[in-house]
Amino acid sequence: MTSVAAPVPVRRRLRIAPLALNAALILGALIALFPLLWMVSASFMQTGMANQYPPHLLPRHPTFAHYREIFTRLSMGRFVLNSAIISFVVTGLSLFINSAAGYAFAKLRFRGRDKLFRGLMLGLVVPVQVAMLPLFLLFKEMRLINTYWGVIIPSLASIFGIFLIRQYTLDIPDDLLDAARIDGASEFRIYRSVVLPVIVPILATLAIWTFLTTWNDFMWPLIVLSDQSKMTLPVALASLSGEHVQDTELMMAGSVVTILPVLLVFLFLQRYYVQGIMSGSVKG
Amino acid sequence: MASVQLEGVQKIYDGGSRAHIAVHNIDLEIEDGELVVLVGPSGCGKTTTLRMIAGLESVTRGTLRIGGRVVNDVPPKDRDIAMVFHNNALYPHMTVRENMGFALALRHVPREEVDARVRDAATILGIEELLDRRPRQLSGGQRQRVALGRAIVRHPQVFLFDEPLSNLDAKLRVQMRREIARLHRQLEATMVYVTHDQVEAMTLGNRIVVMNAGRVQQVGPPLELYERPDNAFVATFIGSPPMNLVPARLTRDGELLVRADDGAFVLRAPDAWGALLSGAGERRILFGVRPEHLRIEPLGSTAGIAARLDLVEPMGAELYLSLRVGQHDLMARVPPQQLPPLGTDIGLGVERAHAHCFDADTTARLS
Repeated sequence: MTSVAAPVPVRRRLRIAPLALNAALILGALIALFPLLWMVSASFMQTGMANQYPPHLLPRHPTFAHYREIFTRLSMGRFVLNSAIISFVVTGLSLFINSAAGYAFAKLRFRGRDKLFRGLMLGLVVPVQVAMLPLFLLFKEMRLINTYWGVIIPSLASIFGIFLIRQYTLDIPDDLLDAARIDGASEFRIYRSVVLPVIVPILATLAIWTFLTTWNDFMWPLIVLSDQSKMTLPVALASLSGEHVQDTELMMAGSVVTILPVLLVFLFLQRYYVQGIMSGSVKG
Repeated sequence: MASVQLEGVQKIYDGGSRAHIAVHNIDLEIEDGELVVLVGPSGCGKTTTLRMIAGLESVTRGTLRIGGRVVNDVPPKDRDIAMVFHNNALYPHMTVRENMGFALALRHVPREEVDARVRDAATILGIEELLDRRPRQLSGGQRQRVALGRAIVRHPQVFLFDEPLSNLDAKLRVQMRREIARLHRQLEATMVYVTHDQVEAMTLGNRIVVMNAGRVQQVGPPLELYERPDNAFVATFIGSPPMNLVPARLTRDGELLVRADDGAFVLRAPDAWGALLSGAGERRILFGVRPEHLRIEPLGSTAGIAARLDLVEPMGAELYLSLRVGQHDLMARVPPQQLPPLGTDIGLGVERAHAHCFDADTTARLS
């Protein structure tokens, strides 16, 4: 009898476990998403409604007035453009520089390679803030203060990015590169036609990461950019919140505009996260 | 097509005080249209030698010629060679067609010609219907065919193979081995083939180069290596199951005798070995006999060896016998027959004409 009765509770427990797990995950996701969703909702509320008590979840009479205002009176479009220029240039150039450097550290033989790499790794422990003052003085000498390049240049080579690419590239079999060498490819051609296509998943990861950090970066652009016409979104948003402390709905609209592009970039590139392009190249 | 010449070629990996000699002076001439197999255990320097011919490793000392031209300092792409790697090394993001055409595209060969040559190679290998697939959609055998195709489209002077079949299962390996042999006949190309598998070496090579510990042990046609190995290493490396070797003494006691060191047997030596003995002395040797040159005889017959039957492995057409003789384990290959139970003693006869004699110290061939 026991042999018949035993499986029943086991089966029931199996069915409950994933249910409970999913419920917990959904609850967690809701808690995490709630402020974001309310931000979107509040950005459509009439002025003052977001501050009422008891608070409202949804706008009673949805309005685009705040969006209209930030793009007209507050010229948010200019800040979006600034942020976009800086983020795209940084992402594009740094992907090239970091992938080339990471590949070289992983696969090319040159004198002092490992020592140099260990030196770079040491640099990881230095906090970014420590470098800000010397960097600022340096850029002042180079007349890069209050220019886009002043924001762009420090982000072009990232130790973390080089490290990430190197670790991923180490897994590419040497035979693949040798095959290309024998086929007649130059070293740069190997990097461009063989290595880059193979490391697309990690490039996508790095692209998302770089774009996000550049877009959201606050401290360095605040220091370098003094001219309002050159400000990036987060810096502009911060100065807005100083002027418009009371205007919650307006601030929420500004926040939505700040977050939306990043969200789009992520949605566009996230499929590469899971794509395993290496499968099938080499039988191990 | 072209010949390949190695003159005193040496490879030293510079590790400061721990410099490592991977390949000692190699002298080797591979003729135009010849298929030469480099064979040896792992770490013997065969792959390093191949990679030096390819230009993927520098030559530390010596001269390397392809088609009469010294290529020591010529980069791989200018040596007019093609190489097939043991793990295929197909470009994962390219289709079969792009994989095969990549080298030609890099050389700015016109598109129509690339297409034609890719199609020709695909026809030779029977992979026409795979041209638009990617490597991950292919089976192991198909991938290896594509790797072959990538080499063929180049029409190179020399084909280099680095253990191309080592990742395939046994059946496919035999099939691809025949394919490569057929390809060699069809293209009449110079080929250098590296493997650790002596069966591949025996069946494919016009000549075999046996290597061990960075040195060439013997160069010759397969059967010559099998019948007259230059030393004990070649004797045991070529042939499966390997040759039996027993430390022994060659002495003259009225007649010429081979006396096993552990006293397990005394045999009459072939008359020709008499010249190896100076005067009436004795000489320490390694006595070698291939498994097929041992036969079962009635126990106690005059010229035989007494052996304990440890294991019988039926292979179908023949039996492999594991035998214990004194302190040594011997192998014999005999026709299928009724055998006494395991653990009992049987008599062994030796075909003296096929026995081998090696120096006990240098292991060089004496007979």
